[in-house]
Amino acid sequence: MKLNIRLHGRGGQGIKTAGRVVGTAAFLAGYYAQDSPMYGPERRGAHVSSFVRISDEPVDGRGYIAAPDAVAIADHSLLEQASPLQGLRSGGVVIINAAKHVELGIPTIQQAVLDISTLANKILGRDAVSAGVGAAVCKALGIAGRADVIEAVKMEMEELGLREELIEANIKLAEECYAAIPTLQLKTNEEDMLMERDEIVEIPATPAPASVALISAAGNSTARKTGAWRDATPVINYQKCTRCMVCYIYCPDSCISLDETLTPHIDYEHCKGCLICFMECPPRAIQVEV
Amino acid sequence: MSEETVFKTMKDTPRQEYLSPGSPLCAGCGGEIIVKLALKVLGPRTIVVSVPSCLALLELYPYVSIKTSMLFAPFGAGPAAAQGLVDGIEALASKGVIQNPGTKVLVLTGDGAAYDIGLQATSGAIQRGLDFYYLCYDNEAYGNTGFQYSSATPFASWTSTTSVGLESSGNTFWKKDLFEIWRAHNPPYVATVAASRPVDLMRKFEKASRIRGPKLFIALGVCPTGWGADAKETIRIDKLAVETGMWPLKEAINGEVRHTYIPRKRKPVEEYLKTQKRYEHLFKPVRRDDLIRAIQERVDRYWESVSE
Repeated sequence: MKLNIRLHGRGGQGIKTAGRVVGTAAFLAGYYAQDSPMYGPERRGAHVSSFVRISDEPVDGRGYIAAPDAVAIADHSLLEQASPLQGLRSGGVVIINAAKHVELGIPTIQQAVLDISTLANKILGRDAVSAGVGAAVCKALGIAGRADVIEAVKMEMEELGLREELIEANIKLAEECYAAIPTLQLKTNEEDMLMERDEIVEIPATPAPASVALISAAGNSTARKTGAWRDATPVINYQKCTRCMVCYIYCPDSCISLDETLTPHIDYEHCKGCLICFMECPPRAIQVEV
Repeated sequence: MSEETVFKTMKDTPRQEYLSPGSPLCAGCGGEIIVKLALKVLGPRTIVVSVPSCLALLELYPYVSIKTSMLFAPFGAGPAAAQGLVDGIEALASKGVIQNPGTKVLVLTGDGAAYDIGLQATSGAIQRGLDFYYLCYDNEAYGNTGFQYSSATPFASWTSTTSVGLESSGNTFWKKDLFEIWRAHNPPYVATVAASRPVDLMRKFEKASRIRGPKLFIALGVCPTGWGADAKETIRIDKLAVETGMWPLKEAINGEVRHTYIPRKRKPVEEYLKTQKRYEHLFKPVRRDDLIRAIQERVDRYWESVSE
């Protein structure tokens, strides 16, 4: 067996730990396993991902998994914002944390849906889905048995230093998710990639004596579409707007620009949805759409 | 020195942007607002010297949000790197290799570098009279690494290395007075600024740009993530810091201190403390009047000493 899994979620949901649960459970079940999160500075609400490689031979791949056999998505709103299906092989499996089947429009992939957030909110009191996502992935892909999954959750939660009762609650969440999700049959093959991945930033080679982390660009962070962080959207009511510039001044990310008439325009490709503009707008001309 | 200013109201805010969207900083970052406004005044010929801090994420390989030039220096070495840049530019300009119409060098650090790790290098640069700007956005802890205690952490605050609860009451030390430490070096200009007072902030940078020598700024860097507040509360919290008197707005020109805003009817510090989870243990599970009073008295004492 050779299985590459990519997990997607938002900062704070526990996607790194979910990956660790899968990797540890696979290891306990007798496989070679490697798990790693995408370590970036992305914060609260930002799109985060982690990677698990499982094999019955030693794992030699490293880094980003560009062509996964299975993808787990802990927040289905990412489907519209972050292309989590990128590179998924046809015949592969998508595990989605959602209340009901999500229409993906791709017949060649199989879908397992489970409302992990509702269970997590019920059992843990918040949207901390790591144990649930980890258990769901293990069961859906037939990676490890129930006992190995529970042991993996216990080990990972202890490693995080959680209190006894929280560890128990996470085990309960894992058990419920494990029981509720079906096992699907992977039908992927090496050649058949469903979606190409986005262009990546080329890093040019520099001669060794001058080899520094040199960025030969100014202000190129616009390539990072932080609009995908947003879970609430500020919308300007231009009838009420007095062109006072307050939203423009306080936007931390320079996402509000002014035209010649001082009318503000929001750059939704990058707006992170902090909503300072909504809070500070003197005539209350900014509404929030969720 | 001239008191003339082009910044009379918020509408005078320059329309040029020197930060691009797409930084990976947290939503609602107060520090990012400060840098955005400072660069609007300093202009396109500003070289930003960055050191490890949250705002170092403005340049995260291979992306950069800063539209002017920037250099990344080791944690404690921001002002030393600035010295190299200033001297190098001067040397190349005097040989006619480059033209140098008013290049500015701005060291941008958090409180970790300003109050702790880079204080020595700053002390040296001020003492040598280096012609540079230093901007510390003070989020009162090591925010980038998970909000560990720094010597800028205020009394009674929670940090990830400071326990709170019935047995312990958060940080037991008082915040270091960096303004006074810098001022004791006798630089021509030191000021404090806050994002919720953009006109005050812009005027101070404008004033500093007419002065040769070290020009140093401490900005309140409201940190929704570390302080435990909703991202949209940043400016509201910033305003409360100013209106409770917890964040005095002042400047010292050639050592002489003047407050640029005096909150005549100060709000109780409680109003500020209540907005942040890092002070939650002052109110829950039992109200800690002793700690709240200690903070209030400290603030009252400060303003009683202000005779303007």
